[in-house]
Formats: sequence, C-alpha cells, structure tokens
Amino acid sequence: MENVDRLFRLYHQPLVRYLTRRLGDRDWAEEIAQETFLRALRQEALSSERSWLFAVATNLVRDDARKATRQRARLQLLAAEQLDRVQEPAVLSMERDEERAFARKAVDALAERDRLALLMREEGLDYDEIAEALQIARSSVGTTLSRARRRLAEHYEALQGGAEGQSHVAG
Amino acid sequence: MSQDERAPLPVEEGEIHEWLDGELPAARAAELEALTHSSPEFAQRVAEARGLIAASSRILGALDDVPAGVLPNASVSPVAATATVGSTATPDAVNQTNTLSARTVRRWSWRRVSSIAALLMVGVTGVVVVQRTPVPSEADAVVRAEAFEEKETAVAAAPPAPLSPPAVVQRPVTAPFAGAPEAVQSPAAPAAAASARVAASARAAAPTPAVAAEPSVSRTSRESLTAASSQALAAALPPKPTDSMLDAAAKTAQSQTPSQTQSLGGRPMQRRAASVIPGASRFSSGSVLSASGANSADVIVSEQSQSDVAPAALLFGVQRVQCAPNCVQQRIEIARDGRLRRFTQTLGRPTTTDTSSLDEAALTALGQQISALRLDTLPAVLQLDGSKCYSAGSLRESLRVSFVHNNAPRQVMGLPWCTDGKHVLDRAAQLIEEAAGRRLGGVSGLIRQ
Repeated sequence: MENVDRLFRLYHQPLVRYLTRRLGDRDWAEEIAQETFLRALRQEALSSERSWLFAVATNLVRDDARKATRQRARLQLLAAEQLDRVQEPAVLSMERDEERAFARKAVDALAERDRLALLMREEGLDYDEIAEALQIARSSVGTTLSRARRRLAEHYEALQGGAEGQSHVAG
Repeated sequence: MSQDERAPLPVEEGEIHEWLDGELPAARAAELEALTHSSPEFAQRVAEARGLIAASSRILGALDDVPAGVLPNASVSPVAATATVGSTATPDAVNQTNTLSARTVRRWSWRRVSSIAALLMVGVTGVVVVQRTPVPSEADAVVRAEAFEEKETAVAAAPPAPLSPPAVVQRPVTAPFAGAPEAVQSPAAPAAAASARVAASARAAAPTPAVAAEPSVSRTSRESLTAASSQALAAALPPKPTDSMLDAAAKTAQSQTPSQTQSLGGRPMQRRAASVIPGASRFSSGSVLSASGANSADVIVSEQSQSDVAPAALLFGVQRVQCAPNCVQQRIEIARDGRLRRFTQTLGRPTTTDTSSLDEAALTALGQQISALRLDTLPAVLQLDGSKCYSAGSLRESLRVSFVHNNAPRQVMGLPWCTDGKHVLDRAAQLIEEAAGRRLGGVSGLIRQ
C-alpha cells in the first residue's frame, strides 16, 4: 500500500495530464487513472513502474473506448448541445477555444504510435520507458518523436493557416 | 552499429531530437555539438528541431485546459487505434472487462438529460433575460461552470417556467476601446445569443467574476481589425500628433474605465495567467499601476489600468506574460510622439516603470523596422528573417503586440517561436533597443530575462 501511495504521488498528476491530452475529457482521464492505480495495487511488483502505468492506462483507454463507442457517440451529441449553451460569446473565449480545437485536431491527426510517444515524452518518460510502454525499439523512439513533432506543428500550422484565411488575426 | 559508432554525417532528424532530448550518449552528443559549430546547415537543422520541440510542447499545453465532461470526438475516438500498445506489459488491462464505460455513461444520467431538456424548454418559451456579463477569467469559468451545474440541477427540479416574461435584467455593456471598430453582431450571433440567454439566465446567480470586465468584440469586428494588410507600418504612420491631439487622447484614456483601457493591454494573457494562478487576476484589476519614472511628464499613462496609452496615441506596444510559476508582465509601449515606457510587474511585487523618449528620426526608423516584422500576420505562422515562426497558445507564456495601422489600433497575440530559436519578442526588443540607442539601458535585456 505504501508503494502505491508513492506511485500515486509520483505519477498521478502526469498520468492524468497524459490521459486528458489523449482523451480530451478530464473526468474520463481521472477514471482511467484510478483504474490504472487499482491495477497497480494488484501487482506484486513493478519493474518499470512508470512505463507500466502509462502502458496500462493506454490500453485501458483503448479497451474502454472500444466498448463505449456507440454510447459515446450519442452522449457526445448531448455534450456538444450543452457546451453550446454554456459557451461564452466573447472573442477571447473563441480564441482560446480555437487554439484548443486546433491543438486537439492536430494531435488527433497523428498516427497513434506517434501521438502516444509524444504525449509520454511530454510527461517526462525517457526513451527507454517509451520504448517499453509502446513495445517499440529504443532506437526508433527518436525518429518517432521527431516525426510526431514535425507533423504536429505542420497540422497545427495548416489549421491556423486555414483559419487565417477566413479570419485574419487580431484582438 | 552502436550509437557510439555512428558516423558524424549524415545525422538523421531523429538523432537530433534524441540529442536535444538528452538521450544520446555523451560522446555522440559531443560530436553533434561540434558539428553545430562547423556546419551552419546542421545548426539550422538543430534550431528547427528545437523550434519543433518547443512548438509541440506548447500545442500540447493548449489541451490541458479541458473542462470535465467533454466527450472525445467520435472521429478521433481512441477506438480507432489499431496498435496494441504494451500488450505484454499489461495483459490484464486488455482482457479484463472494466466498468469504466458504464461509469462514464452513468455520469450522463437521466437527471442530466432532463436538466438539458428543461433548459431547452426554458429557451423555447422565450425567456427574455438578456444579460451581458463580463468575460470571466478561466478560473472564473470554472466557478461559473460549477455554479451552472448547480443551477442546472435546480432548473431540472423546478416547476416549469412561467409563460409571462420575467423582468429583463440588463447589465451595462462594456464598450470597445476608443478608436476600435464597434462590436458588430455576426449573422450567427442571434442564434448564439438565444442559446446564450438560457445559459445567462442560469448563470445569473453565479458569482460575479473578480476580474474586471472586458469589452466584447465580435468575430466581425475582429475580422475588420485583422484585415490590415502587411504594408510597411512606416507608410501608415501619420504625421506627428500635436499636443492637443495627445492631450485629447490622454483624456480619453483617463476617462475610460479600466475595463475599457484594458482592451489595449494584455487582458487575454491575464485571463490565461489567471488560469494558472488565481491571484494573477490582480493584473487586470485596474488601478494597480502608478505613473512614475525619472520624468513623470514623460509618462503617457493614466493610473487606471495597465492599458495606459490611449489607442490614438499608441504607435507600438509589446507585452509578454510569463508564469513560471509566478506571473511576470513585461511591457514596452511607444507613443506616436516618441515617448516610450516600459514596465515589469511581478505578481505580489512592485512595478518597475521607466520612461524615455525617441526623436523623430529614431521613431521613423523604428516604425519601418517594426513593419518588417509583419506583425499583422501573427499569430499564424510568421516569416521572420526568412525563418518560420510557430505560434501556439500557451497558458504559461504569451505575447501580445499592439500597434497602429491606418490610424486604427491593432493587436495580435500568440506565442511565436521561430525555428531558428528567435523569439519574435526578442527581435522586437532588439529593434526598439537599436532605435532607442542606449537610452533605456538595454530594453531587450529587460525583456529577455
């Protein structure tokens, strides 16, 4: 239990951030993180605890999403409906929303492995841990990350460029 | 071949990232380090990689401000992922039936659905409660969201709304800053406003934001603001204003409410800052800064807010807020008559203010140089000195540039980061410093700290 406490203190925040960036839903991210730590409780020992936690969380996301696709599609409509109602009409809110939307689209446009590697790296996982969590060769992590970063920036740039064409920027 | 045996050239992009990420063996890292000094082409590639790393971090940072209960986009649902990740590390994670989905569904209970239905009903019955609330900070938004949740529940439990129209509650609408185009409702605005009314009525009981109000600028006015061409700013510079013009501008600034004048300042950044540190909203509370300096006559400002230069008198202003973790605001403003002001404000610490002035020749040169920055292209991808600058929103650092074009105040904001490592603010500060000579004792030094 003491070990789990330590794991929680060390990794809960980065794991939730990783999952939030991955999922776009903080509640869902919290739940997945909780489930991940529950599973950690059941483990006798963890050799590479950080990569283990991130790998389990990643698989939980995939597993959870697979099962909930249909419900989520319906709920998404409701959520969007509600969000429309609480949205601030101000231009600044729009700018912030726009930035977030662009970032979300740019991240989602990445290949799954690139995206996960990038998100894990952002949470401080080193190349060995990323390789272990994603089950890829250590030597390919640099290439994966460079490709992910370039594509992310390019996607974001393209989205901004598109918006720029419609509405030039100023405040 | 081991990493240590790799040839000096060619260096793949992945290896550059590996190096910048601190993951290369020391010997190989030293080789690449040496290569940056001997090969400008390689140095450029390294700079580009640095830019990409910085840009991607900032882009990902924009995802952190995510409200709870927002479901992922179906088109990008993780279910689309085909790769099995870490399967050997987590066999049980894949195979076990978990209850997360059910919990997610349960969050969207019928209570919530009925709440939404109730809200819809309220909207349809034509409640005419129009409330223009001040734009809340992000921190406030959280409070409001919570309040809205509570209200939502209350609405669901409450009896149906009466058909007779309730009393109209109307708060003063904050006017845009002087000189700016009037806010115009976009064609889509009525529909949005209709749905906003419901939310506004539900929010009526929410706590008033601590942050001062900010003018609401519609997308249309925003477009008109941004329609500026990229022509040289110098060409657009009007003749040096007379004293009476400046006096009038100063009076205008002084007569403006803090919220009005804040429109010229870094208000959006304070909103961002407030999301990081709640106390950062003090930046935008107005009446914070006092005019001081070696020669107070040179200070262009009113004491009402940090947006001290009247729009009509402003030539150029650049401002940066960094929160790491405390927020520091750095700002330089230049008026058309050459008066110049800079200040730094750190949360909880005194403001340092300094003033100086530029002669006409320096001012003209500065205008020409600033125009070359193509500020009107910010915050989209910017070409600066032939290098690409990525711009991405960030909660921890942001930049706002204000300037005058065709007699209209314009502002752009974002976080431009050039792939050659130049920050656009550094470049702007450098230009200012060059133009101002050494009078300010190193503006860029202040700004770059």
